[in-house]
Amino acid sequence: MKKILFLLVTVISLSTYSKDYSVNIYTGFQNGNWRIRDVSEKESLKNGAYHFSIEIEKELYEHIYFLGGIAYENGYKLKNSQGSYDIIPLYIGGRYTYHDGAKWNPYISGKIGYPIFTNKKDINLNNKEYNGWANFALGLTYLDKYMMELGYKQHITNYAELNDDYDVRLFSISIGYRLY
Amino acid sequence: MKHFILLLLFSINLFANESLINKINFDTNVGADFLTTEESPYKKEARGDWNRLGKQTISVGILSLGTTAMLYMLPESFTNWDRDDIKDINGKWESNIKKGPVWDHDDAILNYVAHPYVGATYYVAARKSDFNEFDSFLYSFAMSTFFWECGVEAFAEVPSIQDLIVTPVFGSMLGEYLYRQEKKILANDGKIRDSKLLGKVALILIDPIGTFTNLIGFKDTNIQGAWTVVNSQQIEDGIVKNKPILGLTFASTF
Repeated sequence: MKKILFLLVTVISLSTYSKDYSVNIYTGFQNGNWRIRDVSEKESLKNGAYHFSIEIEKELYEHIYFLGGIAYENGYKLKNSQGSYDIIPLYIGGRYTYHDGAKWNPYISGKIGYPIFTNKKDINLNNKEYNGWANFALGLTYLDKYMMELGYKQHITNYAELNDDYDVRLFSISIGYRLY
Repeated sequence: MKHFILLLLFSINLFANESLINKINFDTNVGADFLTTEESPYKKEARGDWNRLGKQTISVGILSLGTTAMLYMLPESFTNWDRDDIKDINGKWESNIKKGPVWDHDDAILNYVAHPYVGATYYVAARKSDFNEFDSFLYSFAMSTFFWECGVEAFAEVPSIQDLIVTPVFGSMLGEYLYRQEKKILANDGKIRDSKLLGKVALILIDPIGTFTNLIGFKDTNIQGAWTVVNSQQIEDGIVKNKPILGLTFASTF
């Protein structure tokens, strides 16, 4: 938890240090399935999970924005297991906007990062160097302040007992707000 | 993890006031002296030259076949392609698409250097065809996703989620930077640090698709090439002698 708070403070501190930035917050729900790598077998997640994220956005060029942030995704519970875990992805990415300055501004965003596994219950996950997290989303900004987003997320886990890679795939729906 | 830390550190640098990104935030009028207002790629509503982009896309197709052949010849440990699987091509593509996308275990150089560069070349191809930043991103996204990752490469391996995101997203950022660098080089008479050679190499690296397009005959810039015989004057024993040299003249006009 200390690590999370440290990272959160770092992100916010950087945002106050830099010029020409925005800070966005998002929250929403997500659900999907996991499946073993190279095997067709797949299982649904037991419950939908909620997520929360805070990110910094910087305009690089017109229509092109750089993103960097931290998220918290809660409640990954597998159907055939009592185990559950949460993840804290650290990510960077980009947002491409269609019509800067318009009331409704559609955008596409892509993010890639590293998930820190936390709050593990009855589950033994291997820490692999290639663990990863990715997010692709289509969204709309309203009045350059409010955002709504449909996303596809994926992260990889590795169960110690089976030593198999599992791809966890989710669809998410989010709302966001630009703090400043 | 160490790769992400490096990426994270790099991105943190973007936020610093005197960061790299401030240095690359060029004056958007650079190069305007050789472009008319109508031709300027910096105007907000770019019209898009579909004819030029079509030719560039055909070039990408031809280049990709060559790249595929080259990757096929590289060690499997580098590409993670299974040659035995490739031989059994029937159903392989469908099977890979159904399995994907997955988090791949490729080298970081391949994932985080080569893929953004390829994404950038797609982006530059569209940008130089007078499409704006968003449209050029869409082109880079479409080409990297549907043509390469879920197209050509899916015959050999399961589509990779990193490649699907890194190639167009970071490729377009890099592409816009390279596109503006190209304008600076052209405004400097094609030179980098007074070197025409460096300038030429950089221009080819920035737009390999455009260069290849010209080479195969889809000329949208004037490229001329010819075998030539010239006389070289050499001094031997105090006497000036003319010696013929066979050469290839290769000139381009932008």
